Parts: sequence; structure tokens; C-alpha cells
Amino acid sequence: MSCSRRNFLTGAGAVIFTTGVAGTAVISSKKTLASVQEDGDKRYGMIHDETACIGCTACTEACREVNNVPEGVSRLEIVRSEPQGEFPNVDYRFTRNSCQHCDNAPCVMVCPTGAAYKDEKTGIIDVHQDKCVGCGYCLLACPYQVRFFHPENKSADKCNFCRDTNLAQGKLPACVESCPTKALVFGDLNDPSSEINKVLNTQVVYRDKVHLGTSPKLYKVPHQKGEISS
Amino acid sequence: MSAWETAFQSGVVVWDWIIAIYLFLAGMSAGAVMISIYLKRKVIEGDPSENGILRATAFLAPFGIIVGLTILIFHLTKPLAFWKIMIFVNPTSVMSMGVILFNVYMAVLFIWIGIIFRKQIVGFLKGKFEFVDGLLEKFEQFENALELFLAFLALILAAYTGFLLSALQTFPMLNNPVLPILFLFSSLSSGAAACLLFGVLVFKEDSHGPSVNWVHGFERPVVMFELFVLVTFFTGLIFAGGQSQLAAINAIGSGFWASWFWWGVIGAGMLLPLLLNAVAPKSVKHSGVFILVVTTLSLVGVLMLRTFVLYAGQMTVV
Amino acid sequence: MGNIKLAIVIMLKTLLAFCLYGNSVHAIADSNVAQVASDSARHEVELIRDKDYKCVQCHKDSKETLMGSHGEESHKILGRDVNCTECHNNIGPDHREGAPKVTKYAAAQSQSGTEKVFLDPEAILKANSQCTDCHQPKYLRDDSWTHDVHAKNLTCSNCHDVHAKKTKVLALDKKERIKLCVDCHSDFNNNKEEE
Repeated sequence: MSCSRRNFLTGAGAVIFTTGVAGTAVISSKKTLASVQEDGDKRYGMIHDETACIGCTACTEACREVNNVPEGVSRLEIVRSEPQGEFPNVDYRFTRNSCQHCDNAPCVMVCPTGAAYKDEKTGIIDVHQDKCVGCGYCLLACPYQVRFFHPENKSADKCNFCRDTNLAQGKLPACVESCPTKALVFGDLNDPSSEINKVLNTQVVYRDKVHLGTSPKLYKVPHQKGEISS
Repeated sequence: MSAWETAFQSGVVVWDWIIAIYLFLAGMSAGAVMISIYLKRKVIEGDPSENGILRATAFLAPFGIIVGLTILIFHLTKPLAFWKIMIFVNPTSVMSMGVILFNVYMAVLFIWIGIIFRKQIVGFLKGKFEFVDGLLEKFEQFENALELFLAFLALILAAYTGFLLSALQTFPMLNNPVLPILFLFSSLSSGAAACLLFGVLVFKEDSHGPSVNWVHGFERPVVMFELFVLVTFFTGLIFAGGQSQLAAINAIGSGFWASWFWWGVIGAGMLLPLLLNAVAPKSVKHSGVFILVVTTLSLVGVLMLRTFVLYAGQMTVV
Repeated sequence: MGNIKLAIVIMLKTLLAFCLYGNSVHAIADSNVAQVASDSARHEVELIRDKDYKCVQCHKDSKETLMGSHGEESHKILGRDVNCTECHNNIGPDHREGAPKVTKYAAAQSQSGTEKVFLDPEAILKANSQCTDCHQPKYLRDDSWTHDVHAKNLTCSNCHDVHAKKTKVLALDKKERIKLCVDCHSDFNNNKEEE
């Protein structure tokens, strides 16, 4: 045998070391995977059901009240289509225009100070008001054009799913609570048993401007008449 | 003036004419620096600090940057918070990287100017701030490297304004790979025009001399290439179809901005100077008035181009 | 002999004069006779121009309150006042005994809710035609898009009271109007869910 004791011991030690490290890595990663699934990060999303929306804009007013949004600007907009059909069978389609809380948000990408950020625990896109200098880059970068300058604190502002107001108190966002026809559904997209996932799995939904690669989290159940335009 | 009012809808447009002026000044500064570095390295013989064009650049380049950044600061909705943009960095943000670039560029620019005009600066200080002379002497050792680095920085800066706008997916006319190239060449043409205007008329550089001749010779291919880049830009938009095509048609098809583009940017800013330079007899070509007119037309044309890109770009959303 | 002729002429002339006098006396006497009073048994009909006079005798305020909403402007368009029977048509003989036949107006909706009466959409549309015959839908659309979607779902009386000036929905501000939508829609939506 040409293998000396020293060589043998070195080789054996190397083998043990490698398998030991690999083994612990595998075992501990399995543990990590399980813990992510149990109490991991949430990804909050919302569904706007166009078949239920009556265009009353109670959501807009509730948001204004709960989040102290001044008149003249709005965190969300309900857009009414042109009338479809003839009297007395005239139909309108209402679409919601508000922050899509993109998983790949262009506003977060362009903000020079990092004031626009994604809260990794909830998936909500929000603004650090004290870091915002008001350059306007995020207003331009948002392809959905939902950002605006707050007239009072001069920071960039937009819907943040009531993160610091209703959500912080354990309630649903103001718009969701105020809807008389329950056209808004809010929940955790990471939770397979959540109501939002139930609706997503049972109804036809679409999102706006998906081709831009922003991965928006505001889904819409399309109005059942006419063409879906996204 | 309601057509002007509707065109310059400052309420709807987020980045308005103030930003257009900043884009122009930054571009002019970078262009002037690039041209001056080339002149210093390849054309000028003798003491560069005596050269009128270099002297013009010594004022224009820092002026452009400082005034540009100042108006930018006042355009913020929270001007007093501007310092935050200097200490917080976001590597994915073109603007954040641009701020760092501006800071480095300004530092290197001042050092380079300091090295060239060391004698004049020391003379001006009249014995005060003695460390300046020693500092400049140390930097002079690296003059070559600094110069090349500055040229590189100026090039990036000229293109940076284009990259800044092209990061915006929202506006198909701005979200365009040709925009940085367009802005680079328009910087060079505005830099050349500014160098000539101030170099000859203010700093009395010889209009028959090698520097001016070179800049004149440089201007024509730059403007021609700029025209080609514009053609590429709009052809690309039209070929892309959909919203991109609509953006191009809205911009140059008809309306206020189309007139602004064809009569101002192309006609007065590019074609007229080319024509004047081609047909003017030699005696007129080197007169002060002629140089004033032609360079002013060029500069106004570049400002109009930046304004056009900014406003017409924000007209059509993806 | 001449005297006899004269005498005859004078007698004839005198006779003519007496005849004429008698006739005139007879004429004057006739005119007096013509003014004898008619105390016959026939009913005298007085022509009154106000069509609403009889209604207003009992429904005392209704004409005035109607003028609050259908007053001067309506008069300009129609060239006359709006009358009671234009909307409250079909008055029957037993009007004073509960008025079963006359057209009345009330709130009704096409979905079952907790408070309002249910009426099917076709009936609602027919009922609303009393109003939409004058208030044409294309002008209603300019006033509010909500008229379009409620044409077959709500009677006009849900949101409008004609016998008043600027009342019900017309008196509400934006927030209150939104509350109006929310209250009704959440009511019958909850009802639906419970089914």
C-alpha cells in the first residue's frame, strides 16, 4: 500500500468534512423551507370585480377619509366607460385605477434615495416620506400613472393598501370595507387557502400592462360584456 | 397664447421646461469638455491656458453644471432635502448613479481646469490659500490620466441624460435605446457651438486659427450624424407599431410640437446652420456677427430638441 | 172746393203722424217687455279655465308644491302649466272612495330588499314612462349617468319628489349621494347573500 497513515487520515477527514457540511446544509435548508411556508412573508394582493362594481366611488371616499387624502388628488380612481347599448338597456363598465403593488416595481427601481421601497414582509410598495426629496422620477416611472405629489407633505404618495392605517389596526383596507357590493377582495397571495386565491382559481381574471414585466398584484375580474382592454 | 399654454401643460407634465434647460446645460458642459480635451491633446500648440476656446470651456463647463444642478434643486418639491439625494444611493436608479457621476465629474473638472490655469489661479489668489498651488502641482503628475478620465466622464455624462429618460417604460417615445446616442451627439453639437460662441467672441480666439478650424470641421459631421440618429429614432418608433408608433405620430405628425420640431429643431437648429456654413463666402464666415448668429441658432436648436423630447415624450403613455 | 183738399191732406198727415207715434210707443213698450227675467229650471254652466280647480279643492297644497319643481321652466317649454291629470291620469268615478283607479307614484325596485316594494323591471319601465315621456332619456344621461342604469330597476319616485322644490337626491351633496348608492346596494346585496 502506497497510502501512508497521514494520507489516509487526511483523505478520510476531507470526506467526512464534505459530507458533514453537505448533509447539514440539506437538513437545515429543509427546515428553512418548512418555516417559510408556515410563517413566511406575505404577498398582499387585491381583486376588483368589474361584474359587481356599480361605480358608486364609496371606495374612493372611504380611502380619502381613512388616509387623510386631500381634495384634488386621489389614491384610487374608478373610471367609467362610455355608455354601451341603448336606453333602457344601457350598461357601463367601471375599472379601478390604483397602485398595483408590482412585485417588480419600476418606481422602486428608479427612486434615487430609496424612499420608494417594497416591504418584503407584506409585498406592499410604500414610500419613506422622510427620504423622499420630490424629484418626480417615480411619478414618471409608474406605467399605471397612479402616483402623485401630496399637496401637504410634498412627498410622493399613492395607495399603500392602508398599511399604516387600517392594516395596522388589523382591519381590511378602507376601500374593501366600504364597498356595498363586495366588489373588492383583499388577501395574501402566498396563502393557498385565502379568499383571494379562491377567487383567482375560480374566475377569469386579468391584470393591466402585464407585458411590461412589472408583475402587478391588482387583479380584475373582467366585465362580462365587450372587449377586455389592459 | 393658448396653443403655447396647452402645449406646456405644466400641470400634467411632471418634468417641465426647467428640466429641459438643465438637460441642455449639462449636455453643453459635457460636450464643451470633450471638445476642449481633444483640442488640448491634438490641436493646440503652446500654452493651453492662452487658448480662447479652453478659456471659454473653463467658464462654460462648471457654469453649465452648477447652474443646471441648482435649478434642479429648486425643481424638487422639497428643495431643502436635496442633500438626501447625495447620501442615499440606489444602484438600480439611473438618477442616483448620475448624482455620483456629477460629483466625480465636477471634482475632476475643477482639478483639470486648475492644472491648466494654475499660473492664473495662483496669480489671482495673490498669496492666499498657498496650499492650492502645492495641491495642483501634485495633481499635475497625473494630468494625462485625469484628462482621459475626464473625457470618459464627460462622455458618460452626455449620454446619462438620455439614459435617465430611457429608463421610463411609461413613455414609449422616451423608453428608447437610441435616446442616449441622440443626446450624446446633441451634447457635442451644443458644446461645439458654445465653445465657438464664447471662445471667439468673448475670449478673442483667432477665427482663422487651428482650434476654430478644427471645431468648424468637427461640427458638420456631428450635425449630420445627429440628423441620422433622429431619423433612426423616429423610424424605430414607427416600426415598433402600437403605442410607440402613436407616440411618434403624435410628436412629429401634426400639432404644436410637430411645428416646434420641424421648424425649430430641424430647420433653424440644424439645417439652417449647415446651409449658412456651406454657402457663406469666406469673408463673412469669420465675421463676429456670422459666428454669433450661427452658433446661437445651433444652441437654441439643441435647447428646443431637449424641450421637444421631454414634452412630446410625456404626451403618449404606453 | 180747395178747402176740402187741404182738409183731407191735413187729416192724412195727422193720421200718419199718429201712426208713427203709436209705432214708436209700441217699440219702446216692446224693449221693456224683452227684459223679463228668466226664472227657468235649467243649470247654468260657468266656464273656468283652471283644469286643476276641482283637484285643488281637496288636495289643497299639491298645485303649489308642484310649481316648486315643474313651475316656470316647465311653463317655458310647454307653453302652459303642468296639470294634475297629466300624471295622475285615469281618475275613476269612485275617486272619493279610496281612489282605486287613479295613477299614483311610489318607490319600487327590481331586487328584493328589506324595505322597498318589489316590482318587475318591465312594470317599472312602464311606470317610469309617465316621466320619461317628457323627460327624455338622452337628457337625463347628461344630468346623471345613474338614470341609464336604473331605468328598469328603480321607479323615479325612489330618488325624486315632484311635489317639492329641490328635494330628495337633488338636495344631497356628493358624499350623501354616494351614501344613497351604498345604502340600497348593500341592502339588497346582503339579502341576496342570505338566500
